[in-house]
Formats: sequence, structure tokens, C-alpha cells
Amino acid sequence: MVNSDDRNEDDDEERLSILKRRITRREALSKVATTATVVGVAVVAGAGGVLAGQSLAPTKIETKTVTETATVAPTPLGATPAERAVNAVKQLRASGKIPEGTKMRWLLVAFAKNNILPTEGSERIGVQKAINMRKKWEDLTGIPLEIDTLNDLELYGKGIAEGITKAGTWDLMSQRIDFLYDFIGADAIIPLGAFEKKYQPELNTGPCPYYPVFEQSLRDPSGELWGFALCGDWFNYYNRRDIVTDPKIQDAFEKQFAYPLPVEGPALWSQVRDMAEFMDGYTGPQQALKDKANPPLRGGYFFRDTWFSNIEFYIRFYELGGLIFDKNKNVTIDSKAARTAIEDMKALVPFQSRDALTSSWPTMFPDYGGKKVFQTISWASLSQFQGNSPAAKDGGFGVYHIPGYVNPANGKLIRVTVLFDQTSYVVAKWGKTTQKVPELPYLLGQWLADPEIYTESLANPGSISDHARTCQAYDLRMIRTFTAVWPPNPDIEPGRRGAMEAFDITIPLSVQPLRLQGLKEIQDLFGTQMNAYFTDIQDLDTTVKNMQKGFETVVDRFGRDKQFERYQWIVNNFPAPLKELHGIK
Amino acid sequence: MVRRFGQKLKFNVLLILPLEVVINFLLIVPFVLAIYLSLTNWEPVLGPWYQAPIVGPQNYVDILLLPRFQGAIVNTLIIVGAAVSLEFLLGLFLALAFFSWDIRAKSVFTSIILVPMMIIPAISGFTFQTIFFTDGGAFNDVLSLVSGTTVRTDWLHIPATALIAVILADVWQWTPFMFLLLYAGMTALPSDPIRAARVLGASERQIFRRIMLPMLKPIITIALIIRALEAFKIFDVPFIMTAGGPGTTTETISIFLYKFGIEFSRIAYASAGAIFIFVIIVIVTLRASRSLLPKAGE
Repeated sequence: MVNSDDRNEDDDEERLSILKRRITRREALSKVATTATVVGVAVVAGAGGVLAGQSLAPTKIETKTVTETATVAPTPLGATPAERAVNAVKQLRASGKIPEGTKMRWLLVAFAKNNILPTEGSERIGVQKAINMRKKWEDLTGIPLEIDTLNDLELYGKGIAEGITKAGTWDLMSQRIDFLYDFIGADAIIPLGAFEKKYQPELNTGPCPYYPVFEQSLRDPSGELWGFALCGDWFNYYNRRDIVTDPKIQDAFEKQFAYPLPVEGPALWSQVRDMAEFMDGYTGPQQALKDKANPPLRGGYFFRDTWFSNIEFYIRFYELGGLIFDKNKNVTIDSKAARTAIEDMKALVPFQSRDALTSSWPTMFPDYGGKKVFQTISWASLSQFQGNSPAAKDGGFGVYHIPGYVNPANGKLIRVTVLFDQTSYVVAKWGKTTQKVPELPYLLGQWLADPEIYTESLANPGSISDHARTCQAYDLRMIRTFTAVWPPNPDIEPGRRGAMEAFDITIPLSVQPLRLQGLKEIQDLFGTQMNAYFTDIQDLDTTVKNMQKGFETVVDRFGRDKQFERYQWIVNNFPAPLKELHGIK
Repeated sequence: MVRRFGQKLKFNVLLILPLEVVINFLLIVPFVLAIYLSLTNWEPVLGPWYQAPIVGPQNYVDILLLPRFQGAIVNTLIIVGAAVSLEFLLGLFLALAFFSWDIRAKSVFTSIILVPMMIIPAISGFTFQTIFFTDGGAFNDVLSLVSGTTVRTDWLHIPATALIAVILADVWQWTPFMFLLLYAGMTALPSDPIRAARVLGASERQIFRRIMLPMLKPIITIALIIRALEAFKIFDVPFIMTAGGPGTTTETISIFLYKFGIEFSRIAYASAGAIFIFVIIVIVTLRASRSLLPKAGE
């Protein structure tokens, strides 16, 4: 077991060399992307945009590709997004556009509080000293910030209320961008495209891009920008590495199921089920707890509450080739893919922690850390929160990419994951300062989204956010912050630690969330229907039919054409395996 | 004299007018607005409320035909019926015990009994959720201990038992309220009729049934009305314990209205449901409280 204290300079040197190597590769990729963009733009211009439409099969909805933003060059305002933001504020002040005494109010998601306002003098296990990001902004720009914090589950209501009441409480808000169209519909936020052109933030560009799916989620089908990324949760698969590496266990498993125990993580959902069955009730030596009774191991903890059952459903549904709409705008939830996905989810129920059906991650985290469950699906912070748990201390964190299904048509394995609940910064339309100087909250957003500022705030002491930028997997501060307590995972990429390797694989395979108007209702519909099936209240046929019918009702209430167009934005930005599966170029 | 009385009345009205205006504004305006909204198809995510088209009674028809709403009404009625009855019986028993028996340190025990009522419902909901957990839940552990076998009942996964768990949580929290009202009522009863009955040879049972209970009737009615009204609005405990599940089998009217009105932003739709429920509650309450009003000739 390696922990942060065991770290030596050689390790750091090794990681630094990897860091340098990566950035060089990224720079090269960036140049290629820029060249490709120039060529692409020329081709599109020459062909009158016809080719652009054709390339976005299966439908011909015109979209603005994200690579159009990949031509960031230093401007007179500064070389980096943060410099440009700060200098722009100074310029606005000098020109008298910012009235004397102007201040900004910011609704900050509570989990990010310690990233922005850490306890003074605190330090995170040798990573870096606390940096008060509010003070830093105020010192740089002279614009005071008032910060209110709120639990992320309550942000939606506040955001919509701003639109209804036009109260002007906040200028910048943390919001889940999944509900983007609700905020636009409620007239609560402003588009940022004009400012984007003027001040050039770095989104999917430069040496430290957002992972692309997050950047796509910040835009609507026309390419308009509506926010900046803060924290996106994708899901990885975890299991007890200390148990699966036991040769006796491996032999017993192979004897029972006639194939080797997938030591480096299951590739198929059927393997997850088999492992759940095999491990359920296990009482071997790995279950020993100091000074306590050994807990009985359950085969898994797979959420069956509304929120998480939605996530797992989408992952399986997409891997099985499911789509929400067909080309003719018909809702296609009542499909073989949906039935298989839900049926397979239920197959795990007998072997998993019973309370997973009625509880959620606050119960799962300690259950996994306390050696009560063998496997789970979770976001990055599982290991961060459970870093000192019995499971972590005994090497019980194996972190892998989400399992998948084999496509029967060509025998190819498809593994994807869903990016969910992407907390972002949006500019509130009715904020007092927004109404006077809309650039100001935008510039704060751009400053916060700057690669260096962003990494700095996320790696701050007390941070509990998950990562939103691929570069952070190469940043020593982030590696130390998020992986200090995790065991090596040498089969993915030797030299770096923990879940970062799994994240590297997962990031390009993320699917955008189902960003449609009325998403809250859709989530509840799917969650309650599946829960009723998992608890034997209704059969599979009724479940899927109710999901289909309820979804159609919600979709039609907001206009099927619009909802279809929004969904196509997701489809057109599918990760490579799904594009290949559906023949999307 | 009549003139002076008129002037005094005017002055009194003037004094009370500002408060009346404020209260009526706070009461009537939102109520009228809710009625208006219930006749539109307004959803905040579709634009401002004053631009929402009027759909007439459509929302009322839709919501009354919605099986989920019907289910929420049935669940709520079951909770109200079972929980309030149990709370009344237990509260009456406790009050009678405290009233009749010579219990030492009565005030200490009274305070202890009242503690559950002072706990925030959200906290008691969370506590009861962990109590009814299948694995490691206290309820199963106690049953295992008593029965001598391992009990692993999925209390919160089975519709009937999940509803029972919610009812038990409510009973635990609100029995003290019944006890408090009934005990206060008993101590306020005139002692003469009870003493006279004892002298005339009535048994304690007869005294309770023939003398105390009739005299307690107004208090009992008030206690039942207050508790039933409160239980009808039950939200925190089932929301935290079961989130309305499994499926929607423990969803109450308040959870339904919260989900549709706040979470799904379907305010017009939820307003229709809320007004329907309001009308029902008013009718039931007026009918129930009729017995409290003096009858003609009394």
C-alpha cells in the first residue's frame, strides 16, 4: 500500500517526465487539431456547408463543431484566458463601464466551497497550501465577490426561481448544465457566445482541454455557449482488488464459472453478475477487521434509487445499441435494448446489498470502505472519501472502466459511460451586476475556467470535486489530491497511480447526459418505474411500456421537434464506439 | 350614545385595518393566483405565467385521472387513518395512566415522553430509515434476538411493510402530541362529577366511559382534527425513508405535489391538485368540527 508519505523525489521526477511527455504530445495534437480546423473550415466554406450537414448523420441538423473554438491565439488582453479575463475587467473599469461600488454575487455549489474558500493556513497532505480563490480574484480585479453556497440538489429550484421572479439575487450561478434547456426556457440565464468570441476562453483547446463531452454539453445544437465547466461526474467500476488477486479465489471462480476471474476488472456485465453471485456471502481472510466483527460481504452495491438507476440504465442501454428516438422522431425506449438493460440490472438485485434499493451513495461509500460490499459503480470521490477505510488500507480499491456488452452483429465489445450532473457556471440574467455589465460575471466564469486557475482551485485543500479536465490526470497536484491513497493499477499505465488511468480510458468514452427539457420528470419517471420492477411490484413489460408512454408525454409537452433536435446533438457527439455502432461519421 | 359607539367602532376598525390588509393580501392573493394558475398550463420553463394559455378545468380532469395521484391520495388516507388512530389510542392510554396512577416524578416522565415531538421530522425520517434497513437495521436485529432466528425482512422494499414503517415513524413522533392534549384535557375536567360517581359506587371503567369520555369529547375532536390535518400533509418522513418508493407505493399527496410542482416545475398542474385537496380538507374539517359548535337551543 502506497501513501503520500512514502512518496519520494524519484517518483515525482518520474511523474514529471510523464507530465512533460504528455504535454508535448498534447501540443502536437493541438497543432494537428488547429490545422485540421483550418482545412475543415476551408472545405466547409468551399462546399457551402453541404458536407458539414452530411457528416452529421443520421439526421441533417446543422451543428457547429467544437473544433471551431480551437484557434485560440494570444490577444492584446493577454496570453491565457485568466489574463484576458482580468485585463478585460481592468479595461472595463478604466473605461467607466463598471460603476463605482460594483460587486458581484455568486451562488456557489456547496461542495466547491472549500475549493474557493479554504480554511486559512490549511494544507492538503503536502499538496499545496490553501489558496483563497475569492481573495485572489478580488486582489486581481478589485471587484468584490459575495458568495452564497447551496447544496447541489437545490440549485435547480433556485435557478428556475431567478427566471420566474427576476429577482436578481445572483450574477453567477453554479448549476447542473444537464438542465440547460429548462434554464433557457425560464429566461434565467444569458448566452455567452458573443463574449466567447471577444474574450476567447479555452474550452476544448490548448494543452488542457475539458474533456470534450463536457464542452459539448455547455452548448446547444446551434453551438451557442451557455456556461463553463466546474465538476462532471462520470462513473467507474470498483471492486475489491485484495480479494480478486487471491489465487485461491481465482481457482474457485474458474471452477464454478468455467472462465478465469477477471482480475483486471470485468469487461462484460455478465461477469459482474457472476462475480456478484460468487462473492455474495464471502467470509475469507480479506474480510478481517481490526477489533470488530467481520462484516458479511455482499456481492455488490448497485444503486437502484432514481438517480443512479437512471445512470446505469443509460450506460447499458447505449452499450446495447439503444437510442431514445429513431430517425423519424419516434420514441424508441420500448426496445430490446431497454428490456435487456433493465432485466440485467435486476439480475444483480439478489446478490447485492439489500438497502441499495432505497438508499444512495452516502450509504454505499462507507459500505464499500467498510468491506461490506464486493463491487460497485461510483464516481471518483469514492476513493477520496474512503481513503482511510479498512478496504483502502488493505488494498481493496480496484478501479476500472465500466463493463460493456458484445455487439452480436460484429462481435465487438462496446463499453461507454455516461457523464452525469455536470455542475457548471452560468451567468444569471437578472443579476444586478449582470444587468449593468453582463461581461463581468462572464469574465469571472472565464477566469475560473482557466486551465491553471481551475486546477489550482480543484487541487485546493478540502476539495471534494471530481475532475473535469483531462490535463488534471497529468497534474501532480491533482494526482496527489485524488490518488494519494489509491493502490497502483499497473496494467493500465505503469508509473502513475490509481484511478487516473481508468479515467483516461473513460473520458473519451463518455456520453452526454439526456439533456432535454423536462429532464427532472423523465428521471423520476424512469427511476420510479425501474424501482417498481426491481422490487417485484410490476413486470418488465409494464415497466418499459410505462417508461415509453411517460417519456412521450413529457417530450410532446415541450415539442417533439425541439426535443429531437436536442437529442441529435447528443447522438452526433457520441463517443467513437457508439458512432461506429450507429454508422455515424 | 349611538354616535359615540359608531365613532369607537370606526376607530377600532382603523386600528385593525392595516393588519387585516396585510393578512388578507398574504392569504387571498396567493390563493387566487393558485386558482388562476390551476386553470392555465403554466410551466416556468416555458415562459412567464401571465403568457400561459388558459386551459380551463383540464388540469383538474388530468390530475384526477392520473393513477399516480389517485395512489398518492389512497396512501395518504391509509397513513392518516392508521397513524392517527394508533396515536390516539396510545396517547389516550398514556394520558389515562398519568391521570389515574400515582406516578412518581411525573414531570420528568412527561418531558421524556414529549421528546420525539421535538425532533425535526427529517431527522426522525432518517433515523427510522436506518432502523428499518434490511442489513444491520435495528428492527431486524431486535426481531432476530427475540425470535432466535435471523430475520432479514426488506421492510422498505415491500409496499405494505414500507407503508407500515412510515406509519410507525409517524406514530412514534406524534403520539406525544395526543398524550399532551388529552392529558391536559383530563386534568382540566371538573372533579365533582367524578368524585360523586365514585361515592355512588361507579367503577373506574364506568367513570371513564360515562363521565370522562363525554366531557373529553371536544378535546378529542380537536386533537383528532389537528393531527389528521397534519398527517394529511405528511412529507418529510416518507420522503426521507422511502422517497415515495418502492415505485410510488408510499408517495403521499405532499410528495406528489412537491415533485410535480417544484421538481418538475409543473406548477399549474400541481396547483390543480392542491386546490382539489384543499376543498376536500375544508369539507371534511367543517363536518368534523360541527360537533364542537353549540347546537340550536343550547
